[in-house]
Amino acid sequence: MFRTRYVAVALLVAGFVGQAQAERKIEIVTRPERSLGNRLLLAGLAGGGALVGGLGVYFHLESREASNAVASDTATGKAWTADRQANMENAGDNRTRAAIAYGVGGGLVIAAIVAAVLTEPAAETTVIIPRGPAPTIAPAEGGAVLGGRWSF
Amino acid sequence: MRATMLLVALTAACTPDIVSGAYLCGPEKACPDDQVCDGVDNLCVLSSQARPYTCSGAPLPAQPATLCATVPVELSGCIGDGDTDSDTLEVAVPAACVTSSVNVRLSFPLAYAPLQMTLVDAGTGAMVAADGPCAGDADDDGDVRRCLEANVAADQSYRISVAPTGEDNCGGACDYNRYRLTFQLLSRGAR
Repeated sequence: MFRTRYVAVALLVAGFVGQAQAERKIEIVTRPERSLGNRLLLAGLAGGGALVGGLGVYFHLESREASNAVASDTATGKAWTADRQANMENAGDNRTRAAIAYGVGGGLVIAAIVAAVLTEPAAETTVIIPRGPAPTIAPAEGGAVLGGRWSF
Repeated sequence: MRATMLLVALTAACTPDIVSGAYLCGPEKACPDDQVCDGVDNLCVLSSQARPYTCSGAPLPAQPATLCATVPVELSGCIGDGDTDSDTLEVAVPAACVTSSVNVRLSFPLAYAPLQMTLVDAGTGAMVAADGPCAGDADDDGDVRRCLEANVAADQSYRISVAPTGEDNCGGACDYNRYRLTFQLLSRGAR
Protein backbone atom coordinates (compact mmCIF):
# COMPACT_ATOMS: atom_id res chain seq x y z
CA MET A 1 0.00 0.00 0.00
CA PHE A 2 2.72 2.39 0.96
CA ARG A 3 4.82 1.39 -2.10
CA THR A 4 1.94 1.83 -4.44
CA ARG A 5 1.43 5.38 -3.21
CA TYR A 6 5.10 6.20 -3.86
CA VAL A 7 4.92 4.91 -7.40
CA ALA A 8 1.84 7.02 -8.13
CA VAL A 9 3.49 10.18 -6.82
CA ALA A 10 6.67 9.41 -8.82
CA LEU A 11 4.71 9.01 -12.07
CA LEU A 12 2.83 12.26 -11.43
CA VAL A 13 6.06 14.18 -10.87
CA ALA A 14 7.64 12.63 -13.97
CA GLY A 15 4.55 13.71 -15.99
CA PHE A 16 4.85 17.27 -14.78
CA VAL A 17 8.53 17.35 -15.63
CA GLY A 18 7.89 16.01 -19.20
CA GLN A 19 5.11 18.54 -19.76
CA ALA A 20 7.30 21.32 -18.48
CA GLN A 21 9.97 20.32 -20.97
CA ALA A 22 7.47 20.32 -23.87
CA GLU A 23 6.19 23.74 -22.86
CA ARG A 24 9.69 25.07 -22.77
CA LYS A 25 10.25 24.10 -26.46
CA ILE A 26 10.06 27.43 -28.32
CA GLU A 27 8.92 27.63 -31.94
CA ILE A 28 9.57 30.86 -33.83
CA VAL A 29 7.75 31.27 -37.18
CA THR A 30 9.24 33.93 -39.43
CA ARG A 31 7.89 35.09 -42.79
CA PRO A 32 10.61 36.66 -44.98
CA GLU A 33 9.78 39.89 -46.81
CA ARG A 34 9.17 39.82 -50.56
CA SER A 35 12.04 40.93 -52.71
CA LEU A 36 11.94 44.36 -54.32
CA GLY A 37 11.64 42.79 -57.78
CA ASN A 38 8.70 40.70 -56.66
CA ARG A 39 6.94 43.68 -55.12
CA LEU A 40 7.51 45.72 -58.27
CA LEU A 41 6.14 42.90 -60.40
CA LEU A 42 3.00 42.56 -58.28
CA ALA A 43 2.47 46.32 -58.10
CA GLY A 44 3.00 46.59 -61.85
CA LEU A 45 0.47 43.85 -62.59
CA ALA A 46 -2.14 45.17 -60.18
CA GLY A 47 -1.58 48.82 -61.13
CA GLY A 48 -1.60 48.01 -64.82
CA GLY A 49 -4.80 46.04 -64.36
CA ALA A 50 -6.45 48.92 -62.53
CA LEU A 51 -5.27 51.39 -65.17
CA VAL A 52 -6.50 49.31 -68.09
CA GLY A 53 -9.74 48.60 -66.19
CA GLY A 54 -10.19 52.34 -65.71
CA LEU A 55 -9.68 52.80 -69.41
CA GLY A 56 -12.41 50.20 -69.90
CA VAL A 57 -14.76 52.23 -67.70
CA TYR A 58 -13.99 55.32 -69.78
CA PHE A 59 -14.78 53.53 -73.05
CA HIS A 60 -17.84 52.00 -71.44
CA LEU A 61 -19.21 55.40 -70.45
CA GLU A 62 -18.39 56.82 -73.88
CA SER A 63 -20.21 53.92 -75.48
CA ARG A 64 -23.21 54.39 -73.21
CA GLU A 65 -23.40 58.09 -73.98
CA ALA A 66 -23.30 57.47 -77.73
CA SER A 67 -25.79 54.66 -77.37
CA ASN A 68 -28.22 56.70 -75.29
CA ALA A 69 -28.05 59.48 -77.89
CA VAL A 70 -29.74 57.27 -80.49
CA ALA A 71 -31.60 54.63 -78.48
CA SER A 72 -35.37 55.03 -78.53
CA ASP A 73 -38.37 52.92 -77.65
CA THR A 74 -40.89 55.35 -79.12
CA ALA A 75 -41.32 57.17 -82.41
CA THR A 76 -38.97 60.14 -82.45
CA GLY A 77 -40.30 61.86 -85.55
CA LYS A 78 -36.68 62.44 -86.53
CA ALA A 79 -34.73 61.18 -89.49
CA TRP A 80 -31.85 58.74 -89.33
CA THR A 81 -28.97 61.02 -90.20
CA ALA A 82 -25.24 60.53 -90.69
CA ASP A 83 -24.66 61.95 -87.19
CA ARG A 84 -26.90 59.32 -85.64
CA GLN A 85 -25.24 56.59 -87.68
CA ALA A 86 -21.86 57.86 -86.47
CA ASN A 87 -23.13 57.74 -82.87
CA MET A 88 -24.26 54.16 -83.34
CA GLU A 89 -20.91 53.13 -84.83
CA ASN A 90 -19.13 55.00 -82.08
CA ALA A 91 -21.13 53.12 -79.45
CA GLY A 92 -20.18 49.81 -81.04
CA ASP A 93 -16.50 50.70 -81.37
CA ASN A 94 -16.25 51.92 -77.79
CA ARG A 95 -18.15 48.87 -76.55
CA THR A 96 -15.50 46.66 -78.20
CA ARG A 97 -12.70 48.77 -76.71
CA ALA A 98 -14.32 48.58 -73.26
CA ALA A 99 -14.69 44.80 -73.50
CA ILE A 100 -11.03 44.42 -74.49
CA ALA A 101 -9.89 46.76 -71.73
CA TYR A 102 -12.02 44.96 -69.13
CA GLY A 103 -10.60 41.63 -70.30
CA VAL A 104 -6.99 42.76 -70.25
CA GLY A 105 -7.40 44.70 -66.98
CA GLY A 106 -9.16 41.80 -65.28
CA GLY A 107 -6.51 39.41 -66.58
CA LEU A 108 -3.74 41.56 -65.14
CA VAL A 109 -5.44 41.79 -61.74
CA ILE A 110 -5.98 38.03 -61.69
CA ALA A 111 -2.35 37.54 -62.76
CA ALA A 112 -1.29 39.79 -59.87
CA ILE A 113 -3.33 37.74 -57.40
CA VAL A 114 -2.00 34.43 -58.74
CA ALA A 115 1.55 35.75 -58.75
CA ALA A 116 1.13 36.99 -55.19
CA VAL A 117 -0.01 33.55 -54.08
CA LEU A 118 2.64 31.65 -56.03
CA THR A 119 5.54 33.86 -54.96
CA GLU A 120 4.52 34.03 -51.32
CA PRO A 121 7.77 33.43 -49.41
CA ALA A 122 7.66 30.21 -47.39
CA ALA A 123 7.36 30.58 -43.63
CA GLU A 124 10.45 29.51 -41.69
CA THR A 125 10.03 27.82 -38.34
CA THR A 126 12.85 27.81 -35.83
CA VAL A 127 12.56 25.49 -32.82
CA ILE A 128 14.54 26.36 -29.75
CA ILE A 129 14.97 23.69 -27.15
CA PRO A 130 16.33 25.08 -23.90
CA ARG A 131 19.48 23.31 -22.85
CA GLY A 132 19.30 24.03 -19.09
CA PRO A 133 19.23 21.35 -16.41
CA ALA A 134 16.13 19.18 -16.27
CA PRO A 135 15.20 17.28 -13.15
CA THR A 136 14.34 13.61 -13.42
CA ILE A 137 12.59 11.36 -10.99
CA ALA A 138 12.01 7.65 -11.30
CA PRO A 139 10.35 5.11 -8.99
CA ALA A 140 12.67 2.67 -7.35
CA GLU A 141 12.46 -0.18 -4.94
CA GLY A 142 11.40 1.29 -1.62
CA GLY A 143 10.99 4.83 -2.94
CA ALA A 144 12.14 6.95 -5.88
CA VAL A 145 15.38 8.17 -7.45
CA LEU A 146 15.71 11.91 -7.93
CA GLY A 147 18.30 13.17 -10.41
CA GLY A 148 18.95 15.70 -13.14
CA ARG A 149 20.35 15.93 -16.67
CA TRP A 150 21.79 18.72 -18.69
CA SER A 151 24.05 19.22 -21.67
CA PHE A 152 27.28 21.25 -21.81
CA MET B 1 -26.28 37.76 -58.56
CA ARG B 2 -26.89 41.48 -58.14
CA ALA B 3 -23.44 42.23 -59.54
CA THR B 4 -24.14 40.03 -62.55
CA MET B 5 -27.43 41.82 -63.21
CA LEU B 6 -25.67 45.18 -62.91
CA LEU B 7 -22.96 44.03 -65.31
CA VAL B 8 -25.57 42.84 -67.82
CA ALA B 9 -27.48 46.12 -67.50
CA LEU B 10 -24.33 48.18 -68.02
CA THR B 11 -23.25 46.11 -71.01
CA ALA B 12 -26.71 46.12 -72.55
CA ALA B 13 -26.87 49.90 -72.22
CA CYS B 14 -23.99 50.14 -74.69
CA THR B 15 -26.05 48.64 -77.48
CA PRO B 16 -28.59 51.15 -78.78
CA ASP B 17 -32.08 49.75 -78.49
CA ILE B 18 -34.03 51.27 -81.36
CA VAL B 19 -37.56 50.01 -81.85
CA SER B 20 -38.98 49.54 -85.31
CA GLY B 21 -40.54 52.79 -86.50
CA ALA B 22 -38.60 55.01 -84.09
CA TYR B 23 -36.87 56.92 -86.87
CA LEU B 24 -37.79 58.24 -90.27
CA CYS B 25 -35.56 57.19 -93.14
CA GLY B 26 -32.53 59.37 -93.70
CA PRO B 27 -30.91 60.38 -96.98
CA GLU B 28 -30.74 57.57 -99.53
CA LYS B 29 -33.04 55.41 -97.36
CA ALA B 30 -30.55 55.40 -94.46
CA CYS B 31 -31.70 53.46 -91.39
CA PRO B 32 -30.15 51.83 -88.30
CA ASP B 33 -28.16 48.70 -89.14
CA ASP B 34 -30.87 46.14 -88.51
CA GLN B 35 -33.70 48.11 -90.13
CA VAL B 36 -34.76 49.11 -93.63
CA CYS B 37 -36.77 51.94 -95.08
CA ASP B 38 -40.48 51.36 -95.47
CA GLY B 39 -41.55 52.54 -98.92
CA VAL B 40 -44.97 53.75 -97.84
CA ASP B 41 -44.52 55.90 -94.75
CA ASN B 42 -40.73 56.39 -94.89
CA LEU B 43 -40.16 54.87 -91.46
CA CYS B 44 -37.17 52.71 -90.54
CA VAL B 45 -38.66 49.32 -89.74
CA LEU B 46 -37.64 45.69 -89.44
CA SER B 47 -37.17 44.13 -92.85
CA SER B 48 -40.16 41.84 -92.25
CA GLN B 49 -42.39 44.91 -91.92
CA ALA B 50 -41.05 46.88 -94.87
CA ARG B 51 -43.31 47.61 -97.84
CA PRO B 52 -42.14 48.58 -101.32
CA TYR B 53 -42.18 52.19 -102.48
CA THR B 54 -45.44 53.20 -104.06
CA CYS B 55 -46.73 56.46 -105.41
CA SER B 56 -49.79 57.09 -107.51
CA GLY B 57 -49.56 60.76 -108.22
CA ALA B 58 -51.82 62.45 -110.74
CA PRO B 59 -50.37 65.03 -113.15
CA LEU B 60 -50.27 68.49 -111.70
CA PRO B 61 -53.32 70.43 -112.84
CA ALA B 62 -52.96 73.84 -114.43
CA GLN B 63 -53.76 76.78 -112.18
CA PRO B 64 -55.71 79.25 -114.30
CA ALA B 65 -56.06 81.73 -111.47
CA THR B 66 -58.96 84.10 -111.75
CA LEU B 67 -58.22 85.89 -108.53
CA CYS B 68 -55.13 87.97 -107.82
CA ALA B 69 -54.79 86.50 -104.36
CA THR B 70 -55.41 82.87 -103.69
CA VAL B 71 -55.36 80.74 -100.61
CA PRO B 72 -52.46 78.26 -100.55
CA VAL B 73 -53.25 75.36 -102.84
CA GLU B 74 -51.62 72.06 -101.95
CA LEU B 75 -50.90 69.60 -104.72
CA SER B 76 -49.11 66.28 -104.57
CA GLY B 77 -47.26 64.27 -107.13
CA CYS B 78 -44.61 61.69 -107.85
CA ILE B 79 -41.35 61.71 -109.77
CA GLY B 80 -39.66 58.64 -111.24
CA ASP B 81 -40.31 54.93 -110.61
CA GLY B 82 -42.71 54.59 -113.50
CA ASP B 83 -43.98 58.13 -113.11
CA THR B 84 -42.81 61.19 -115.00
CA ASP B 85 -39.20 62.35 -114.75
CA SER B 86 -40.38 65.88 -113.99
CA ASP B 87 -43.69 67.59 -113.29
CA THR B 88 -44.80 71.02 -114.44
CA LEU B 89 -47.43 73.28 -112.96
CA GLU B 90 -48.85 75.91 -115.29
CA VAL B 91 -49.75 79.20 -113.64
CA ALA B 92 -51.54 82.07 -115.37
CA VAL B 93 -51.57 85.46 -113.65
CA PRO B 94 -54.77 87.43 -114.35
CA ALA B 95 -54.33 90.68 -116.29
CA ALA B 96 -55.96 92.77 -113.60
CA CYS B 97 -53.45 91.94 -110.86
CA VAL B 98 -51.08 94.59 -109.53
CA THR B 99 -47.60 93.73 -108.24
CA SER B 100 -48.12 90.02 -107.98
CA SER B 101 -45.83 87.39 -106.57
CA VAL B 102 -45.91 83.68 -106.18
CA ASN B 103 -44.98 81.72 -103.10
CA VAL B 104 -44.24 78.06 -103.73
CA ARG B 105 -43.21 75.52 -101.18
CA LEU B 106 -42.01 72.06 -102.16
CA SER B 107 -41.86 69.32 -99.53
CA PHE B 108 -40.58 65.80 -100.07
CA PRO B 109 -39.19 62.88 -98.02
CA LEU B 110 -35.50 62.95 -97.26
CA ALA B 111 -35.32 59.22 -97.98
CA TYR B 112 -35.46 59.31 -101.76
CA ALA B 113 -34.12 61.44 -104.60
CA PRO B 114 -33.82 65.14 -103.67
CA LEU B 115 -36.05 67.37 -105.79
CA GLN B 116 -35.72 70.91 -106.99
CA MET B 117 -38.11 73.39 -108.55
CA THR B 118 -37.75 76.33 -110.87
CA LEU B 119 -40.09 79.05 -112.03
CA VAL B 120 -39.93 79.63 -115.77
CA ASP B 121 -41.61 82.20 -117.99
CA ALA B 122 -43.91 80.10 -120.16
CA GLY B 123 -43.65 82.51 -123.06
CA THR B 124 -39.89 82.92 -123.35
CA GLY B 125 -38.71 79.85 -121.47
CA ALA B 126 -36.41 82.03 -119.36
CA MET B 127 -35.86 80.99 -115.76
CA VAL B 128 -37.42 83.51 -113.37
CA ALA B 129 -36.37 81.99 -110.06
CA ALA B 130 -34.91 78.87 -108.51
CA ASP B 131 -35.78 77.38 -105.14
CA GLY B 132 -33.80 77.70 -101.94
CA PRO B 133 -34.00 76.57 -98.33
CA CYS B 134 -37.13 77.70 -96.53
CA ALA B 135 -36.66 80.21 -93.71
CA GLY B 136 -36.94 78.73 -90.23
CA ASP B 137 -37.10 75.21 -91.57
CA ALA B 138 -36.67 72.28 -89.20
CA ASP B 139 -34.11 70.04 -90.80
CA ASP B 140 -34.55 66.85 -88.82
CA ASP B 141 -38.11 65.64 -89.35
CA GLY B 142 -37.55 63.39 -92.36
CA ASP B 143 -38.82 65.91 -94.88
CA VAL B 144 -36.97 68.42 -97.02
CA ARG B 145 -38.60 71.72 -97.81
CA ARG B 146 -37.62 74.06 -100.60
CA CYS B 147 -39.16 77.46 -101.10
CA LEU B 148 -39.46 79.78 -104.04
CA GLU B 149 -40.77 83.34 -104.03
CA ALA B 150 -40.72 85.60 -107.06
CA ASN B 151 -42.50 88.56 -108.55
CA VAL B 152 -44.64 87.74 -111.53
CA ALA B 153 -46.13 90.01 -114.18
CA ALA B 154 -49.81 90.37 -114.82
CA ASP B 155 -51.28 88.63 -117.82
CA GLN B 156 -48.35 86.26 -118.05
CA SER B 157 -48.11 82.52 -117.82
CA TYR B 158 -45.46 80.68 -115.85
CA ARG B 159 -44.38 77.12 -115.34
CA ILE B 160 -43.23 75.70 -112.06
CA SER B 161 -41.11 72.67 -112.78
CA VAL B 162 -40.31 69.92 -110.22
CA ALA B 163 -37.48 67.49 -111.04
CA PRO B 164 -34.83 65.40 -109.28
CA THR B 165 -31.47 67.03 -108.65
CA GLY B 166 -29.72 63.85 -109.80
CA GLU B 167 -27.74 63.61 -106.55
CA ASP B 168 -28.04 61.32 -103.51
CA ASN B 169 -30.29 58.85 -105.31
CA CYS B 170 -28.75 55.58 -104.01
CA GLY B 171 -26.65 55.39 -107.17
CA GLY B 172 -29.83 55.56 -109.24
CA ALA B 173 -31.64 52.91 -107.18
CA CYS B 174 -33.91 55.42 -105.44
CA ASP B 175 -34.21 58.03 -108.16
CA TYR B 176 -37.84 58.70 -107.31
CA ASN B 177 -39.84 60.60 -104.76
CA ARG B 178 -43.20 61.84 -103.63
CA TYR B 179 -43.78 65.51 -103.08
CA ARG B 180 -46.27 68.08 -101.92
CA LEU B 181 -46.33 71.46 -103.56
CA THR B 182 -48.02 74.42 -101.94
CA PHE B 183 -48.71 77.26 -104.30
CA GLN B 184 -50.02 80.75 -103.52
CA LEU B 185 -50.48 83.79 -105.73
CA LEU B 186 -50.26 87.08 -103.89
CA SER B 187 -51.15 90.52 -105.16
CA ARG B 188 -51.68 93.99 -103.76
CA GLY B 189 -54.93 94.30 -105.58
CA ALA B 190 -56.64 94.45 -108.93
CA ARG B 191 -56.81 97.20 -111.48
